[in-house]
Amino acid sequence: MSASRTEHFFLSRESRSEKLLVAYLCAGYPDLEKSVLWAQALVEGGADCLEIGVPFSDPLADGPVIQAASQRALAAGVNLEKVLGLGEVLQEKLSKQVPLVLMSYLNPILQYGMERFAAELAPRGFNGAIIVDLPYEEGETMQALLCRQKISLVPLIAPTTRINRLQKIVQRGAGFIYCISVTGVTGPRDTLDSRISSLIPKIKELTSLPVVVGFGVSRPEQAAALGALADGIVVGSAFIRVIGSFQAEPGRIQEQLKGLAKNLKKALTDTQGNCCSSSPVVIR
Amino acid sequence: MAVTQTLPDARGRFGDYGGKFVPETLSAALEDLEEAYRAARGDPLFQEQLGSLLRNYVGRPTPIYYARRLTENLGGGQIFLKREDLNHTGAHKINNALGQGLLACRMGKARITAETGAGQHGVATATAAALLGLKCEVFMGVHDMERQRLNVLRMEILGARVIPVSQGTGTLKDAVSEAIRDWVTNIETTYYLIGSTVGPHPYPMMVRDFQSVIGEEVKSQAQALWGRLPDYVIACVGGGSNALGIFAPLLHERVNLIGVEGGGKGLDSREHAASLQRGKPGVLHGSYSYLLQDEWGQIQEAYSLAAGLDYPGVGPEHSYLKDCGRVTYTAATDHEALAAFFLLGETEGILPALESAHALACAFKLAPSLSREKIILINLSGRGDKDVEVVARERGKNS
Ligand SMILES: Cc1ncc(COP(=O)(O)O)c(C=O)c1O
Repeated sequence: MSASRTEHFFLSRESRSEKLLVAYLCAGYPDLEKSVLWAQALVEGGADCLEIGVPFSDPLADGPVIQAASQRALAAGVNLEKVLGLGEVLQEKLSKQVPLVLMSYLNPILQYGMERFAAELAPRGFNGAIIVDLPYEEGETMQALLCRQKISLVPLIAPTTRINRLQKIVQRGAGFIYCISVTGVTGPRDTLDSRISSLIPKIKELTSLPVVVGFGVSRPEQAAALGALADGIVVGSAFIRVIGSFQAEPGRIQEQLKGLAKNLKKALTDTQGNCCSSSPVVIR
Repeated sequence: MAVTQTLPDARGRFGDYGGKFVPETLSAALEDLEEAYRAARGDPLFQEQLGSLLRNYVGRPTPIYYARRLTENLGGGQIFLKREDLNHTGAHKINNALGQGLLACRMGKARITAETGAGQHGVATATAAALLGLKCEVFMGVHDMERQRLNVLRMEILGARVIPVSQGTGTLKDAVSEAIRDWVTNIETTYYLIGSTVGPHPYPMMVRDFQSVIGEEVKSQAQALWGRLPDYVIACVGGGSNALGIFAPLLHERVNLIGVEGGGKGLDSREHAASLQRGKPGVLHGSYSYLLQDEWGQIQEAYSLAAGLDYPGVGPEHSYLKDCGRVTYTAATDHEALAAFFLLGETEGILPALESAHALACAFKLAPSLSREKIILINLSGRGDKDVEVVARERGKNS
């Protein structure tokens, strides 16, 4: 667990100087070639890590934005094999190497074969995996398989996670800790769960891995508030929305993605050291 | 209830099947639910409350009826019907809805949600909510709302809100997904009342236990009626709750158990709901079980004329019972189910639910091959009033 690849990229909290912007993309929305362009734009805008989502027919933890993007990607014929291929392309084409984390629901991985999946991630350029519907008690086998390949299985923690469970999850976790900001599905929101302001420090006490907050985060003000609490943020639906809303002028999408990434990163960075800031705007 | 007690194991597994494959946000809620359920199960007061409702409100025990004219018409083994259609609200679904509704009250939840396909579970949940004074919202696919319009009206009259689900195919699978998303969002205030033996642990166990009243009654009624158990027990399988309800107490007895899936337009067409016979194991809606899916693990559409069977998954315990060979699974097509629907109406004056008509269709094939002393018991899981429109439309097409 301790020497996994992602950890080499995400330095421990003390030695890291910057807050992290993790950007989620639904692979193949609206097609795989475009995904490469979007990824480039996000990295140029300052994303420190890319979460590459495998589209699934029944995404239980996702709101309407990512559901619709997944449907589109599936209709375009995207599957796990192709998403792994995208990793390879990104490894080659990104201007700056950032860690790639594959995000999937469990069933596509089961059908692909867990061992085969675990073995192929690293050669295809991935450093970690997030499996949305594989909670702690079901994850042991997968974790062991991934660990052997030096791939981090990034765990999720929710506002509803209890302390005894939290300890176990964090202990087994690798790469970074993904803290879910709301009880709910993915999608932009105005308010985040107030419990995370006590949850994040608790997680930080238990691990030196970066604690990154996601679900619902879309705006620079939220980034600023969360940047003060956590080691970084994950933004997904907000980027997917940009892709969706500029479909008529695809040329502008890259510029828009880059701009949003830049603003978010700036908001995060501006909060550096400002760790006690209260954040009335976003946290209810 | 020997088997009922031993499976699932502590991890919610029936062999390899089952488990709790859910997003982290739900984990604590599932723990709470399991704890509350185990406490309730061991609490004589809870059992008495439920037992009293089942007797005085639902009308249990339901009779076992000898279908004499039908038996004579088919020739061969004797056909008996376990009359779950006579329950209040017209199907077995109420057994579980009241059990879980009482549990929701015990847990202090003020809002219950449910998914529904045929609308029978939605109606049962709306009924339980009205009775217990709870707020009720039911997720239902838009396609199902159309074909089970009568049940939508019933739910609304009972004070429930029916939330249309247009995602995907607008059927049961999508309604379950939306109900789970709603639960993730409103986890503190909401009790998600699943209508079949599906979903993450402890649901498959809990729903089976609440439905086992069917099989328990069969055991005692059988003694009085025949002085022995039936030779065959047949039930339709959507998610699998009416089937497990009647099978579970009989798993260790010498009884042939047959589960009938929705064969749609035939198992060799792509339009059927035969997850156990044509699916592969995988994870959907929180448990590992047989699923209709493509080679990349994307869930495929199921199809059945019976809305309650139109689901690409199946309860994990059925997957286990299939693999270990204790239960035989087969299918009946839309066409066969319709023929059974009419035959039961014409010979016995009983309109079965289209779901239950699948179990009947299987029995109609089996009966003529058996001698007269053989006893076939069919779980008549619901009544067919809700299906009259669909049946009339189908008859129009074929005439
Ligand atoms: C009358 C009836 N029978 C059977 C079913 C199928 O469900 P299960 O397999 O859980 O019994 C339904 C579902 O709606 C139903 O309404």
